[in-house]
Amino acid sequence: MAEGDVAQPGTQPGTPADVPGAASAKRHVGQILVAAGVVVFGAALAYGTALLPEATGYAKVGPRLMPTIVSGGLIALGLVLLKEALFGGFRGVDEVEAAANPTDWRAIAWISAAIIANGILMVPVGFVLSGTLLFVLAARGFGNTAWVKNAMIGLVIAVITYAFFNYGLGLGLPRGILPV
Amino acid sequence: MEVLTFLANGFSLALSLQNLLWCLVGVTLGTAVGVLPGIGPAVTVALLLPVTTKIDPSGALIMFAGIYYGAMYGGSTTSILLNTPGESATIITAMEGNQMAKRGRAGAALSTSAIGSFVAGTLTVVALTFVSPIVVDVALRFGPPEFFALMVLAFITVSAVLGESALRRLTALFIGLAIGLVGIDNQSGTARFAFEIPQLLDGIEVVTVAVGLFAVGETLWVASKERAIVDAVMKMTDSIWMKAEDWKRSWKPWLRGTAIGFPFGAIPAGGAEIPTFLSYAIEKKLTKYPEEFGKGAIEGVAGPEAANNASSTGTMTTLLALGLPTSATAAILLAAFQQYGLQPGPLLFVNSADLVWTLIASMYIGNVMLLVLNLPLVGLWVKLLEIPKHLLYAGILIFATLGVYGMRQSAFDIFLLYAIGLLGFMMRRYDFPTGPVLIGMILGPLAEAQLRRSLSISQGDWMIFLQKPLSATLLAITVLVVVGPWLMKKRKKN
Repeated sequence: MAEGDVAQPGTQPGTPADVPGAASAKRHVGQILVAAGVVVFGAALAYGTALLPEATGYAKVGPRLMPTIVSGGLIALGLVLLKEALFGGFRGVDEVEAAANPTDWRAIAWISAAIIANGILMVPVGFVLSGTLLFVLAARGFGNTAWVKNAMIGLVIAVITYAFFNYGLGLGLPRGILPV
Repeated sequence: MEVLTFLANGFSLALSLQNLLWCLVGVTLGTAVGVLPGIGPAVTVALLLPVTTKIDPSGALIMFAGIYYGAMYGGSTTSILLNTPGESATIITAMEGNQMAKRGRAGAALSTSAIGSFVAGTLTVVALTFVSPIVVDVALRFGPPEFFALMVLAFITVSAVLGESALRRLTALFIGLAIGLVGIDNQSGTARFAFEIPQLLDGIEVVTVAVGLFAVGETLWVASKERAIVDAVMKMTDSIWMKAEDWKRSWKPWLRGTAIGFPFGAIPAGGAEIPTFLSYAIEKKLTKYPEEFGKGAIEGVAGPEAANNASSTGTMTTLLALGLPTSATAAILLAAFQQYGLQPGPLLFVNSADLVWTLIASMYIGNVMLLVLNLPLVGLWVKLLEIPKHLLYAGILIFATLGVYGMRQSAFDIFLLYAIGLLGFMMRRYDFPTGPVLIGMILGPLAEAQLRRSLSISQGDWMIFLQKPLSATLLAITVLVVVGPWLMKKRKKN
């Protein structure tokens, strides 16, 4: 599927002037990084595979076989993706629309903080309170600043789910600093 | 007929009060998560996997299957009233159904999709009942080489074949295969890619990947685009009951959609959206009212919705009879079977016939329940759409961390959840489908086992896959599926 897919629908082959290499490369920096990431991931997997012990036994198939196939596949796919990213961009991905609709990184930061704090606090502080904090921070990520109201809603949800999963299903959620 | 005896037995078990209750819980939950944006059947089943330690296999699997096909019903409600397709398979409904809603025909659109889903659901369960024993008969003769060839075919049909995103689908599949490698290799006991981290030695939990990609990734995505997305819930102004004219225009599209959807669910060549697109194109061609298409033609909702629902039963057929998951939710259902030490596939029909037929019977019952839940009670579900986004997604995150932590009481998994959430966000941003990741992760280790078993039998000779006529045929089909569309494209160009 390497050659046949290259011409983008709509772009006429034979008019290379339409695709100025530098400009299109500039537009697709993100895509190039993603494609390169796939190649690097595949290469790292291949390196890890080489460190695995050799297969023993007469069949000569061991723990290395599947990782070899997967890493080889990832490197190959990453290279084809890289080719697409460099020449015209990923097929069917509208970068113009993406650019018109920028990512709100502050929202992502709030939600990232919410989940990471939850991972740190889950065991020492307990499910209920860390869940409440998660709820408040995530709601802030969506632009809502009604802290007190959100904290109360979050607390109610956390208590109900804690009761249901901990006592109903015996999931063993951390109690933390709370008495029950 | 032997099948009918099995089915009757299945019904007698499925109609027990306990199993009816699990079925009702499943389809109700399924409808709810189908309606709610940001959480789907795959995540819901994944989050509920811990219940497998508490309830018996038939109860849990009846509930999980109910969530799966129930979500197909609920999803159409959101598409019609909100115009934001929850998943690619409801793009058409979001288009045509929302147009109907704009013209004050939301009730008719909701009802043709609910009844169409019921017709498709029921007819395809009948098909499943009679087709799966035949498939099982064939598959019982399969050895490791045949199963491996079949899995290769499944990998290819799930990920590649059609559409501009084929390359990205395939990449997603391979990322999933890589995730599936992590942990101790079952056959040799070698630790792979675990970096001596105890949590990784046990492998990465399916729950963490499913919830990370779908729930956390989706939350990050929606939050990052919050300013740009404006949703307005449409009001239902007309009656939910269809007029005679609507019935007349709907029943043929229902049947045609069913016929298209079932095989595409069983062998999803190019993704779940293909049968709905096909059905839409056919209805557009056959209709007496072509001018209404694009402005809210009832056929354009009836056909694709039936196709969508039929494909989910097709997927169940492949999962039960062959043990192959062809959608993300089916992959999680497979994981649920594995929690009980069960492996779907032909042997399940032999060894756990009661369980299989109870599950199949429950699908007949579940579809009736869903019709009631989604027609007279549709107003209830519409209220779910009015939950403010910040509360909805914050709540989803609480459930996400709960399910992931609860799986093995490890805070490490929450950080892993976040990392996979970021991966899901990036995949969403660059239009990589996330479903194939899950299929690769769950089917990968099974394929590896079959591959190594085959090569042990043949003492390392790869020709074994070509010497067995069945596996050679399956591989030939795989090659055809890959090369066929490419050759056709080439020919068109010249």
